[in-house]
Amino acid sequence: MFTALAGTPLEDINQALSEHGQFLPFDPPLANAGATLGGTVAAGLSGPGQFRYGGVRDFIIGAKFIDGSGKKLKGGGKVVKNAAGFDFPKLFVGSLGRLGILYEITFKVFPAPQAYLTLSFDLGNIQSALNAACALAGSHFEPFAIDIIPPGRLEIRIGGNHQANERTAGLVEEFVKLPASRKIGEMESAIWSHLRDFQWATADTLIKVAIIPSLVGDLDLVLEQIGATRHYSAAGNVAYVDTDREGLPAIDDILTRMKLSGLALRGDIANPRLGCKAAAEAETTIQSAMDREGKFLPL
Amino acid sequence: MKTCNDVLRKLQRLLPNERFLIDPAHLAAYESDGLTAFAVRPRAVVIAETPEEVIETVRICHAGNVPFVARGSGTSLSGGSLPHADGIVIALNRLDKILELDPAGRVAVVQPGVINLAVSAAAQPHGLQFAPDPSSGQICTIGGNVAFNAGGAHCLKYGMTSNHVLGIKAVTAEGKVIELGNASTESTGPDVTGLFCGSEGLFGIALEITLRLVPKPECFHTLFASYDSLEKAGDTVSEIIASRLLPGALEIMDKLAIEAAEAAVGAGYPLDSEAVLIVELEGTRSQVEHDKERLSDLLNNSGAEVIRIAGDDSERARIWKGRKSAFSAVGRLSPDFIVQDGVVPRRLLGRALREIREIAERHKVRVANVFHAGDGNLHPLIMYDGRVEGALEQGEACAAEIVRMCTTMGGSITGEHGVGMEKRAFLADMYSQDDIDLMHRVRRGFDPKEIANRGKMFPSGEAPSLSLYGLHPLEKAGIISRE
Repeated sequence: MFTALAGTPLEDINQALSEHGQFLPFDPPLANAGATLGGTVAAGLSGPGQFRYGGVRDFIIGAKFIDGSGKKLKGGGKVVKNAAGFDFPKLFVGSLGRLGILYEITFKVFPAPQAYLTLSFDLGNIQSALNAACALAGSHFEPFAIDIIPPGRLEIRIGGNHQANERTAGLVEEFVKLPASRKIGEMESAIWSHLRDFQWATADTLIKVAIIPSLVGDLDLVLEQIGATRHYSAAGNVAYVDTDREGLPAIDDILTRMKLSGLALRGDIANPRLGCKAAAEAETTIQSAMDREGKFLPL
Repeated sequence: MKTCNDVLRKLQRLLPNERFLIDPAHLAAYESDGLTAFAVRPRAVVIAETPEEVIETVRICHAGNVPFVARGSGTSLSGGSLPHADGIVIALNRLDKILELDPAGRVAVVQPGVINLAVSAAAQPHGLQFAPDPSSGQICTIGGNVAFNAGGAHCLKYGMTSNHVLGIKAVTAEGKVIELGNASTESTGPDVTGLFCGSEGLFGIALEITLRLVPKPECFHTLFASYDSLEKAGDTVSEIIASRLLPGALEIMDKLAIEAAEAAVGAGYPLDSEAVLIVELEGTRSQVEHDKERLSDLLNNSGAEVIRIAGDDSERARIWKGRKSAFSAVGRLSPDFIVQDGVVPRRLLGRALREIREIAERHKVRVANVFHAGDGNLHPLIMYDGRVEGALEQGEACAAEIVRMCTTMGGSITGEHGVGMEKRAFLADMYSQDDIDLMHRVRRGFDPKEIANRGKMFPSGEAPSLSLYGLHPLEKAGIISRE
């Protein structure tokens, strides 16, 4: 585990952890763009690697924060297992800085895999890529990341001992029944920094959507129709959509209609939360209890 | 009292006689849970069969200001499902349907009364499992796992229950139905699902829980190594963690626990050793093949006396059976025992074990140690004979000192059993009054009358349960108090 101040850049964290052979398994995005630990928690952002061991919510174990009246508070602790008191650290994940100001955060970490290997498959279309992604997600190959780039590219990241990775890669190719292009080393990590850091997204608004695999096909079809660039991560559990500002209302409508929720990660938007807010009532209840003077923006 | 009788009359109209228990002989079965030192008779028990009955019962309780306790199989080791003397128990065992199982999306939607292992059994044909594996998995329910954020032997790699709960539909103590999270592993907005997990039933009752399923590992490599000292076993754990291996489980048992487990199930642990370390690697065959060589090198240089590797599934099961039966096996060594659940930072494991031994000697009690070493989660089993005057008090004093040792070392008072009734007095050792006030306010947001599991988790302050058997020894010792 480690404890750091909320404003610590992810790059510093990644560097310090790698010196000890450890890593943040949820693979936080935008480290090279200067993202901080606190911002990552507040935005609730996890990278492609979340597929293997879980997202930011699964690794945060302690949080200290300041409430709207200036009081210092804390939740959780500094040990990897703790069932005492309410789990405020998890609650802060995705809270957009609207429940309090995080100032110190504790995470559990895992040993970093010795090496990675990535297999790129071309399945031709989104549905075939998705089917293969779901089958691999339920298999015992334990990939670190399963991402889909429309129309039909499937990126499978395998982590561990170098020789074991090669053997697993062969078995994955047999499983998918297609040959794949294999990458290791810098070429391999470039694939994932491109995806993790949204280097593919060039429009002014980037949206994260929480989705389930069975709805990816439908969403992809409508996004195709409105011409939005997109990419799916964590075996069809996250969609990232890149659009112009003008495209935003349409996407908000689509998400609401499909009962999905989204979050604008960048762009000039009054309220970054899009689509459906099923837990709105519970969120309001919690916010009223935590911010009695109403100092923060409503959730 | 009048309103309580009013509530009882309304509940009687809501439910058929055989599912509304009010006769003391029937209520007796609900007086205690896994923390048997406590026993409280509730006013009545509602055996719900549908979510609608649960919702209506909660609404009636809220309107009449009568406390309620949700109960599954009553296996809580922290007194989490202990009844309230002026309240009712809502038994959820019959809400035991797996509502949906989606192998492609790797999720299951279940009712709160579903048994923990039943989820993995249902997922098994698809090569999937529900990872949280508390030792009581054969009987404990998902609703209780969620309320107390249950753990198990495989938390090191997989995390606790809350890491496997994606969404919850619940009725709050006010009778409102709320929906949290969804079936995706991703979410937007604050993680209220994560907050609900481990809230000890203080917000309301979960009615439908969406669980994440994970693939069963292709291959296991399970072994035990025995040592002539506990410290050596503890140090080996630190070395395994430092070596960059990530085992699925790392467990230690001490001499007393070994003796108990051997007598109970004959797991094959060497009786002359001071400690047994269980290590389980899991993953793809090729990765495990590689890791097991590294582990073997490490163990061969760790001063281990005997290293026994499970050659097949039945040998693996035998190693685990010894570990999983340890709690009940200690019952053979002592008529009564207290299970502690403190956590220390992993690097202080060796020191913690030495201190526990010193504490036990000072209090003149026998302590068996069984613990999730990879997480630093200790389970000292403090033995006493309840028939001997003062023995329980001695045991409780020893337990209290061990809990305080954990917080002094920067750890936690509970790793996986929850605060419940048992560790209420210690919550303030971890959190400031302001922190606890905040928990109170959030609780009251969902439960303004504080009727849901009243008396649990918070250090006194609100009306706790009344024991029918006079003053509890914990109270005499000043560890707990009531108004």
